Amino acid sequence: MKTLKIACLALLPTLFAAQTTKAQEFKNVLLGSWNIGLPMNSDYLTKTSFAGFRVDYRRFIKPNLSVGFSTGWQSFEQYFDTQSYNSSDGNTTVTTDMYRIVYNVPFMVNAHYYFDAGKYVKPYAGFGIGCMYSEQTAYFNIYELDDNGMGFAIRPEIGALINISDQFIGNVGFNYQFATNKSDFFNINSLSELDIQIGVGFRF
Amino acid sequence: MKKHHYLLGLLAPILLTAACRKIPNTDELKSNLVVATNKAPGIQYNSYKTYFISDTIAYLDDTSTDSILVGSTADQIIDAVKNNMSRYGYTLVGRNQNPDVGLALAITKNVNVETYYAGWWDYYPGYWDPWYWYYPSYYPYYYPFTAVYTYTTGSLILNMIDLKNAVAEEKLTVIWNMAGIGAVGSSVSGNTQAGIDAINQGFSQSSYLKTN
Repeated sequence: MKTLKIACLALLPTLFAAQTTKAQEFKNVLLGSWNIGLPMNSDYLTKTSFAGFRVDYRRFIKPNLSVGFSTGWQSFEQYFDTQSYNSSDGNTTVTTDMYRIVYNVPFMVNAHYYFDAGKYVKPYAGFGIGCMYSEQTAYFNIYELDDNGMGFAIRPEIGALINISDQFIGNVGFNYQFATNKSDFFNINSLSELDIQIGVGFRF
Repeated sequence: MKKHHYLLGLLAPILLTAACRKIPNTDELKSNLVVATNKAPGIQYNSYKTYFISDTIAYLDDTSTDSILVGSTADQIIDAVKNNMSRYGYTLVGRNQNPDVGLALAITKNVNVETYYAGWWDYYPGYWDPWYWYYPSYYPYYYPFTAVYTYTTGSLILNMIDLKNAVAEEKLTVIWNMAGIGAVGSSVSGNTQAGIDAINQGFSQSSYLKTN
């Protein structure tokens, strides 16, 4: 019995090695994730958005390193009760309630480094760089004001890939995103947000 | 393996539905008129003490030939202006008693006027001008501020015109302007109340009009 235990213990590293090898066989990962966004630009809106989606493609160039790209969208919206807004010269005042919308579409190239953590979970840390298209809209009464533009964007992130099967994986991620999008009209100097992703995907 | 396919099949529509761009539910927006006010820079409003307002409101509607609004609807709106002017310390006087400022009310409905500039109504056929007969020399209106609005449904406009310096300056300078703009309904009483609310809000956000 003791011999068997020793044999089993001796075999364990081999088993892990075999599993690790198997896990590293795939070269590509395609992920689709639900994106929850927490806006950090409190001047314009503050409400957490559950209306977001992100698509990631990752190509493994080393067993613990991938490069790829991602895109997606996030739609923030918040209702503001009636209040007065003054023009910068102080001569004009407008009073209304309104809906404010921010709709973001980032395009990023990413690199991710993966840590060994066993068979089921593959934690990672990554960094994305790219650009972001953003629309800002305010609806009040029957009127609408809008502005849009492109900005430079960066996105540090952490997360974990989760083994579901040979083909399918899950993803849980958390990132900070900063973009240089500006809107003089809405007095926005940059757009930043914290995001949480929960997603699934497949590897090939 | 099959289990995982089911899992993905279930998750994918949920994720996509949750994530799609939402159309804002603008039903939640209030039906109150948007109230915009403009003041002329450099004006000392406490140098004006008396005012005159006509008991008639200029009216512009693309389905009617009426150019003035009279009766109880007009009275309610004009009374709202009078109450606010009184609250701010102004005294109502007759037209021929040399009022410091004149107040002109106008309502538009179902009219597309994309820009609002000095005296646009001068050129609008049938538009009633409260000062036309009082100033035979017909001084032009002058707006010392930029006010651009789009009126697609309804609006209530209140202009405060400097009469104290009109002769010296040979122009009718609009020293304060208020516009309540937005969707209007078919109920006269509802629209009237919306107009009154807009007037009250316009004065509330313009406390610099106080005479003391």
